[in-house]
Amino acid sequence: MIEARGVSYRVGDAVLVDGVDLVVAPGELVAVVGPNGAGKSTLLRLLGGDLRPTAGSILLGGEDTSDLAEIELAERRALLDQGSPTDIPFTAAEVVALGRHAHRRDPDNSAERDAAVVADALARTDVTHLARRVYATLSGGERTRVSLSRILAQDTPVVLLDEPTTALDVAHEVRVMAELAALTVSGRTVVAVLHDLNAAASTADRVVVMSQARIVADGPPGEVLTAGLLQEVYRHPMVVIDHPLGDGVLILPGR
Amino acid sequence: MTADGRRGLFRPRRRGVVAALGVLLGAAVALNLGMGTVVIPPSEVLGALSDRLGLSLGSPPSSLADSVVWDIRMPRVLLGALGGAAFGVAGAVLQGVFRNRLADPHLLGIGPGASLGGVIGALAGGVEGAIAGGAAGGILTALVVRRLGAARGAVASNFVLMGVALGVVLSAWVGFVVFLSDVARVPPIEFWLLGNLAGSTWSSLGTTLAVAGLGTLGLMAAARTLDLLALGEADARRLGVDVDMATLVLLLVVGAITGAAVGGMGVVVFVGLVVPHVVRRLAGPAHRTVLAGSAVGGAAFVLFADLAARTIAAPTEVPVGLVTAAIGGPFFLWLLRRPEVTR
Repeated sequence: MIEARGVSYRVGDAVLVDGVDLVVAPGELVAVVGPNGAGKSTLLRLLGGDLRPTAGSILLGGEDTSDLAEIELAERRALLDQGSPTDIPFTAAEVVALGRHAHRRDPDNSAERDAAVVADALARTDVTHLARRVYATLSGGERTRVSLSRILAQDTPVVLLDEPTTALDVAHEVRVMAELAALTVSGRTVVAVLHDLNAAASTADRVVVMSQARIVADGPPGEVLTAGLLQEVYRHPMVVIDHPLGDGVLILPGR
Repeated sequence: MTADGRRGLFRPRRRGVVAALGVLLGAAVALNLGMGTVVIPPSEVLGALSDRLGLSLGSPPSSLADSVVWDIRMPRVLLGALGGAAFGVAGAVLQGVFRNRLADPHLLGIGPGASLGGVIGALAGGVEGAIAGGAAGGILTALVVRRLGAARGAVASNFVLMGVALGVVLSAWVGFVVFLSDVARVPPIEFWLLGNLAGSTWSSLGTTLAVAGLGTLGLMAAARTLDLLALGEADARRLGVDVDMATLVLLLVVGAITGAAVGGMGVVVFVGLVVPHVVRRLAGPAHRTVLAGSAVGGAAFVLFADLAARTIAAPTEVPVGLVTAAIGGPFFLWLLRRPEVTR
């Protein structure tokens, strides 16, 4: 469970996030979409405790993130952002294993459990075959999958992801979206910033549309992702049609 | 998946590297105890050591051999090993904290800062004062370096250049203090700039041992934090590291051990740069092995350098820092030319 109450974030005169209210319940996958510069990444970093709101508060499982120490945050949420360094000298498996750091405080955890979780996390983002490769030598998409694997190994009730699929090929995008959906089945709270509107439409329980630092729509994909709203926020003609393979919609940019 | 299959996900740990460096260190100790103006055969060295420990191994030492091994060479070996371990570990920690492979306690100015503290301390309180002053100077300079490192966006080599400039200024002040002081009360300028182990005595060893020894041991506990910092500050924080507090504590300890070692033996350059890199290449980047290997390897490196310093121009001794500089300087140039990606 994660909750933003009247959250704003200002840097000087710039308002990056303006009066956002958002509640995401356990078992829910929420996609945040919107044009570049709408404040999506800033909102995600506010939710994860990277940034302190300049107004309002963020509650993580009922606790204000401002009151939590780094290690306590690490036990409660995992956050993947877009800007990890590329020169990490460790292997993929070593990077993923570092995701287990906060579990050392858990008396029920063990080296065996760590190893099992790491192996499982590597398999879920299809990087087991890269386990012994040095992270710095991987491609962009491979690095993203290893980082995602580290997020899964952290094994937290709340998972926050900034563009987890942007660097991925089509097959891996589908696979990762399915993994995110699977996280909600086990009761986790997932918030993902996505640029792929179709991935949002097909996988998310709810879609939040941001524009100019505010949330302009929040609801089930079928209700929110309309041609009219999308045209307005993206300032580009959009086509929304029934999906040829059945449920849901298919969204295309117009000409 | 079986336990074996899981283990296959990780590269094998190369614990043997630290053991091999330990053997090297043992050889360095043995050679340093036996070699010099007076050559003492190994059996007599063993005899002299075992006598002191209440055992009777080796052959009974002559009184000259006993005095040379125990009173002159042993404190020198211990101080050199301790200082080398401190400099090696300090380099490894600085490289981890700043994610900068060129970081080194002396290149960043912490050593020169310790020298300034040490020379002032020597004026106030002799050898003990030099060590305490060195530790204080090291700590203060480490805090300055922390501010330099906080200037984000600084290119790796620029950060080191700032440290070098800081070091040059501090070394100049060391020079002023030395030349304006009574020669009998402070060690000469070359001690502070190039290091020298000749002044080691049992009585001066205790303070260095307490500060540098305990601090170096304590830093072994930082391995996990340094591993996490390798992921970048942002991700380390997200995984539970209080980055600001960890950086502060690590720099304070690095300043203290560097400073205490400098107070006892002067600035011996490039140990903290060369040794961690060699260990990383041999044993991989995990800080558990990097820190342990840098301690043992740093000790061995300084002892071999001191052996060379004592014997290449015997009976004249050259400063030990000249030897490490002659080896470390070219290594530094090679590092600067190397591409970024590390294996």
